[in-house]
Amino acid sequence: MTRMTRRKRELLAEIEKSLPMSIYRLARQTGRNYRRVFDHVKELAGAGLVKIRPDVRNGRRVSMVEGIAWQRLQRLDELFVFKAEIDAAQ
Amino acid sequence: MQLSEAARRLLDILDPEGVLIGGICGTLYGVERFTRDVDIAADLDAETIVQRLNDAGIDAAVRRSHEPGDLSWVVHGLFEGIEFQVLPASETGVDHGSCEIKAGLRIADIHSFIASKCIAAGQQDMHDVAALCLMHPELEAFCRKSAEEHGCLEKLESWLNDRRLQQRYSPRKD
Repeated sequence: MTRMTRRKRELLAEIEKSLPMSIYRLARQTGRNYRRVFDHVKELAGAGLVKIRPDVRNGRRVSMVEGIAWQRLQRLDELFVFKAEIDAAQ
Repeated sequence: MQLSEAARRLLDILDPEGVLIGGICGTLYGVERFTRDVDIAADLDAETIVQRLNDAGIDAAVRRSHEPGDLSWVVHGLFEGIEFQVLPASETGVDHGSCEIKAGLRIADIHSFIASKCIAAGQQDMHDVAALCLMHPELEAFCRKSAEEHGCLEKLESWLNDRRLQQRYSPRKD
């Protein structure tokens, strides 16, 4: 990432507190230009601060962005299911 | 049901007075450990909490204690097979005004979370506080002060000196 600017920091804070959402929605939510938000999110993803994953919504391909907090929660949920399966098998 | 979904629904029921503490909160702050229950601190009385849970179709009961050092009450129950506890915010060091949102969940802010862990002061709690200290060295003075206030500084230091924990959580210096 070239530099962590105030705009990128604000974007990162918005992503961290939210559920996964499309970059389009993130741009609308923050009232910013889609192209600029897309570029910033790509930079944040390149620095490992967010994750972008492709998804299909209403038949359209979209780029979903997830914060680190969400990824941590997902890992905990996966572990929870795994442990529940082990408990059930015993 | 996923653990995070259970936490989300319980928080909705206790909105806006409930905030997540415990293992899920620790996970959101980056502490890597497993938990199978949902802990919430709520700025409500036990009867109101039970009433709200019952209204939502969830069985819950109050466990009271007059033992020194114990919480005066804990509301506990099972939601879709997931255990949960709701604790009095005033006794767990959590000010419901000091919360933040992460991944759509309302959680205790990091200082309140550390205070709640130092009040609980078990080994697992001190592990979590030490992990946060190692990840955020700027919090170490606050963690030590809070641990000292609640008589668990020795336990915290023992975890801070744990080499495995240091390797796992210390920021890389490269």
